[in-house]
Amino acid sequence: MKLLEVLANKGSYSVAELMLDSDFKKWVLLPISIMMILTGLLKSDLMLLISPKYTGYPRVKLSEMQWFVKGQLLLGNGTNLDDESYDVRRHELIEILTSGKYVAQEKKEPNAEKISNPLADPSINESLMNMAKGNMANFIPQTIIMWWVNYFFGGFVIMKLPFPLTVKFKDMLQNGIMTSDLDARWVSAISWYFISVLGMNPLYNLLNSNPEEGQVNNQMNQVLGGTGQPAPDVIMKNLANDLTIATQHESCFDDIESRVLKMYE
Amino acid sequence: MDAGNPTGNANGQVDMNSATSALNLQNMDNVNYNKKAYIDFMDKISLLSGVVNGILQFESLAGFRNFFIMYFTCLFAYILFICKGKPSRFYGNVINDLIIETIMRELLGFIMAWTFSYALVG
Repeated sequence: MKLLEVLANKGSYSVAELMLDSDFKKWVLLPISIMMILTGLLKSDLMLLISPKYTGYPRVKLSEMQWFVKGQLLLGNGTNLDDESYDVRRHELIEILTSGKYVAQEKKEPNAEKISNPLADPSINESLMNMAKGNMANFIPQTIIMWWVNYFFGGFVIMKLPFPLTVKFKDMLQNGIMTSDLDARWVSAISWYFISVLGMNPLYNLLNSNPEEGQVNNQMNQVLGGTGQPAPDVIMKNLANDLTIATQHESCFDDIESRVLKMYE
Repeated sequence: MDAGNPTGNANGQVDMNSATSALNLQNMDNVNYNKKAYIDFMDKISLLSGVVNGILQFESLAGFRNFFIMYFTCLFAYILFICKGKPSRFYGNVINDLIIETIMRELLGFIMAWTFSYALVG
């Protein structure tokens, strides 16, 4: 209840009105905002540059993946076919998937069974390295901007927040301002930095939207037999089993004549 | 603004079959595309609403109340007019994809835009 009163400004909490120089807006608020936006855009470009390159896959691996997808599509969209077409496709796919004709054969090294150290795997090392680079690209610019804001714009109040905050926020948001009874709504530049860090994502999304983003990742995820997945031949045989038991087929063409006639009744 | 790619067939096949078969027809690429379309839409709305609230000098509860009114009005408008009242055809988990995943992001974006325009105008 007390919190609601504070939020609605109906209590006896009086907010001291300060007269701020309007140059603060021009020389503090705007430069910090512009710097935050530019840093965010630069960071996303940097992430694009240091992101792992899409290396592609050999033809045999792609055809293995496509046969698997074909089986899945038949299971998912088989209702678009009539019974005869569905059965022909189903039997052909069961035969191909069970025989393992299109499973990509990988070169087996003689000592492959003995290697058990995951850190020796170059792909895992590369992904760890990429993760570390991504983290660095995130926190280094943030640290630099935070230092810049604290160094150049510390020690004075620049703005009033439109919502009330509790006294506990004073230490963080009025850092360097020697007033014990100033309301927590009057904040220094560092608080604008925090609000920007938390709330800039929608703005970055609109400024930097890339419609093709994520397509490569999706393609990469579709390849069979990745880390932590069962072997491709096992996946193929499981799909063949699924197709074998998917005998109950309901076609969208069943009774289509009566349904069309009913529409014009 | 379009919720683009329906996950089911447009010829009414989904309605004829059971809910399970409709679930099987969902394509992850299309669902991701639809999620991005929704996030873009809500990003624009929340930033614009924050700027308007700041210019009009709304404070405290009034500002947050405006945000939630705006958020849920746009959500229902999106479901009604863009998803044609059937959001489950376009999204895997409607509550999660349309509300839980986005509300915090949009609230923070709104607060940022609100604070900025409030300080500039005030």
